Amino acid sequence: MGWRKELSICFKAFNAALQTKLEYRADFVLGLTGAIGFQAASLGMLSVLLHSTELLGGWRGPEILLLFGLTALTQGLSELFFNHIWYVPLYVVRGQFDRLLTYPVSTLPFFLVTSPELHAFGNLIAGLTLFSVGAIKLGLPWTVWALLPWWAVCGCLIHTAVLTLCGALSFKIVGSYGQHYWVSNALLQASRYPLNIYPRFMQGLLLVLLPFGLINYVPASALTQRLPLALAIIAPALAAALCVSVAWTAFNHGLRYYESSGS
Amino acid sequence: MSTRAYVSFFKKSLQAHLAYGGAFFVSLLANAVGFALILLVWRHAWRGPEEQRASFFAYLTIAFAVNFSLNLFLERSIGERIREGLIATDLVKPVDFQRLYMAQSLSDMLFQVFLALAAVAVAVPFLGTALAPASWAHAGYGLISLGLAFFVQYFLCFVFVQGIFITYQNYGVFATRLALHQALSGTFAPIESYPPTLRAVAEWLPFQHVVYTPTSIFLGRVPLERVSTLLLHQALWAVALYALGRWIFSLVLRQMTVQGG
Repeated sequence: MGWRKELSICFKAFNAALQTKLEYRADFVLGLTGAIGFQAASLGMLSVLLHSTELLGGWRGPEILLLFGLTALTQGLSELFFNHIWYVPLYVVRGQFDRLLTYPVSTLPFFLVTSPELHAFGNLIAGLTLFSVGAIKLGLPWTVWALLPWWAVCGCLIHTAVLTLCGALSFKIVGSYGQHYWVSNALLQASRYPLNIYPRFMQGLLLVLLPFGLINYVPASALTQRLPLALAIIAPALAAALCVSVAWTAFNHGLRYYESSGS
Repeated sequence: MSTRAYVSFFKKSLQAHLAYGGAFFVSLLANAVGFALILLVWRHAWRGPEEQRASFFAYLTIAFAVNFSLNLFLERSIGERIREGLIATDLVKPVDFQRLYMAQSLSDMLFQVFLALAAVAVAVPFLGTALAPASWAHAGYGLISLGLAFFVQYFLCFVFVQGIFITYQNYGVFATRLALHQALSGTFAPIESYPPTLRAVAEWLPFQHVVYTPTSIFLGRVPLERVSTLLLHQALWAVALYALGRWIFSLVLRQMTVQGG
């Protein structure tokens, strides 16, 4: 099957899954408030930190808001389009990949798009708001808005790719709740603070090995004149391409270890 | 109904933890990474007097252990059963639903306490005696407070879980509770270091009694003469949340629809 046909099937599947989710209206509202609440809680933590010290690693409050905003946007996009990745551990335990493996499409992309989460809109709204407040307070030029989708998409691909690596691990670490995903999540949350406050090994980890720093720290550093803009445009895209190819390979490799549950 | 059924359920839950011991270990690792990051951020941001530094970081460490021990996952376990219709089999069992899940949550806590203690042991070489309770009395009251914190946390989760009977999805309910917990329980910092508005909100809600109260009592951040008042507040919150949860549950049962079939 050609890639265009596969893409069209994925799009239809995503659409159908989205319709299903829209049936749960009360959950949509609660999910939206919950996701915004999560962002508000992290802002609460930031306010506790800034209550103790005015500058964090030389970064002011509005500059840190750019980091928070970019992270929330990244998370929101990933949850909207690729949220199914969180379900791999459960599917492995229950043997639910049997059905998927018989479909005449590539397993990973089809699997990823078939469970969008509507609470993603909460993160998208919160992310856009936080970024906007930060950008307006800093008086950034209009060009940042043109670059925002680029960074959000690159960030979404990097974040999803790292989660996909966790998914690949789930074929080996069997357990229904996928706690190892939370390691990745914790590291993503860590990248919301300026990376220069961390020890060198953490900076290396977050800029090279699991490049969450390219989602938020590098773009925000460029916007605040700490790094060249060209680097902030090219590096996230290259990292996204590399992460996606590694994650896809790892996931397909992990699938080889899949054993049906027989239930 | 005798307590035998609940004890048996407790034992089975504990066995289930052992069966997925590796997964729980990874859970500890994930939480420990999150905790290490909090430490790294505070290492940079801490601006208090140098002589209070060890005490502040000891607070963060014990707060992490308490928080990890009281991760109850109730929204997830009950939420999945509601969505798949399996909740019907729970409701027809000749046991009290609230107590049945309390037995499971108790086994969660017991299992997690041991893992959390292992994590605290890692911090001992760095923080030394700062991690020790202020006195034997503080240690004893701290443990009583931890017990009460379990009830506050369980009944709080139970109140939130009622939302899943209406929405049939657990994320919204889970996220709302967790957001409030993260911001207001004192996991990230002691409540006295919060900005005034956030502190005022935290002091009016029960979340502080899950992490902040037992941790502060244990470490002697609270003078002994105030301990009894705090324990009383915890107990009153537990009773109030227990009653609220039961009342909402009775209303929810009247209108609930069992999914699946």
